[in-house]
Amino acid sequence: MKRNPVVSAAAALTIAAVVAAAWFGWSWYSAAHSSSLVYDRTRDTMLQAADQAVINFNTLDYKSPQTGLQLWLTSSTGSLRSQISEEMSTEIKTIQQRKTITTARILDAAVTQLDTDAGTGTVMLAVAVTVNESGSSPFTRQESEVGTLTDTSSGWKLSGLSYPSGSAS
Amino acid sequence: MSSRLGRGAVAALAFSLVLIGVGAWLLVAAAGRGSSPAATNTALTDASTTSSAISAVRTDMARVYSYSYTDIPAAEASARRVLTGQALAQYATLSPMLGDAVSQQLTVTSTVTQAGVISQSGGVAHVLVFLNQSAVRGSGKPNVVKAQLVVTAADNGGQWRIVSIEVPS
Repeated sequence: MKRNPVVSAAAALTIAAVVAAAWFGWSWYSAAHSSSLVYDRTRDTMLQAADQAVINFNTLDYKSPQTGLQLWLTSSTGSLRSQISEEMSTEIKTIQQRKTITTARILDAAVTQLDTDAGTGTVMLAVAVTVNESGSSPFTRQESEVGTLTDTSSGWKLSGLSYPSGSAS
Repeated sequence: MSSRLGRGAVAALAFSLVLIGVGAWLLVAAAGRGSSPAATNTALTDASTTSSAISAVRTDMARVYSYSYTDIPAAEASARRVLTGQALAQYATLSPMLGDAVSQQLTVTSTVTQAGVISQSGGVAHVLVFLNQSAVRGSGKPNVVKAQLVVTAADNGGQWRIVSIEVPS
């Protein structure tokens, strides 16, 4: 019995397509799951979280302190978070007395440490903080901050925030 | 019989086309993964380059921003060895300040307190630096000034050179 040349050609093409799809699939999988790329994405995700958390921590309006401080709480975890809850009422009193409004902008930031297995990292940030107090003209100061981050079930959160040997003026 | 074979061939052909389509999409997706902006920034993912850039910038920045009125020419020569391009031109503008150091008996000692790579690719690294500058006039008390700088360094055959120094803004 003679084989139909169309069938033979289709069979050969099918085999070739299966092989090609498998190879392309594998190349997609390895690109998407390569350890350096996962590390890479985690670095950027953590940096974004750190930027936003530090902006939140430097943003407060005496007219709506609860809203601002609630953001502090959602951006933090661990001992930093408990420290904030403890000092919340004092903080509110102070900014209401001085009628303070602070806003912040991240000038530059760099990840200095990242342990994807442990879910911890460190970020250094150059921050411009603008302070607006009733009775005095607003001023902007440049602050150097170092944030420690921890990966939680709801994303990366600040677990520590320090000002290495004071702030740049 | 022949119509059955024909149907089989058509089905195989359609299946092949679907596989080719999926394969092509996967290949494009894989290429996209590899060249996304996150993938081109190798800060920390290329750990050895990151650490060599940081260690060079730490040493070089301390060198450039440290000088004593007792030997300004030596400080200048030492700074010029690690600077290149725009940074070298920037350094030339500091000449009057270095001259003042002599008349004021000024000794400045700088240390990098924190350094991290913002981004790096192709042998060029942008490094965020927190710098402490301690200035002593004659036998007076040290006056410490803090600074934030973004240093661009380029790897020139295993030797990092500072290309530019900018203030984060």
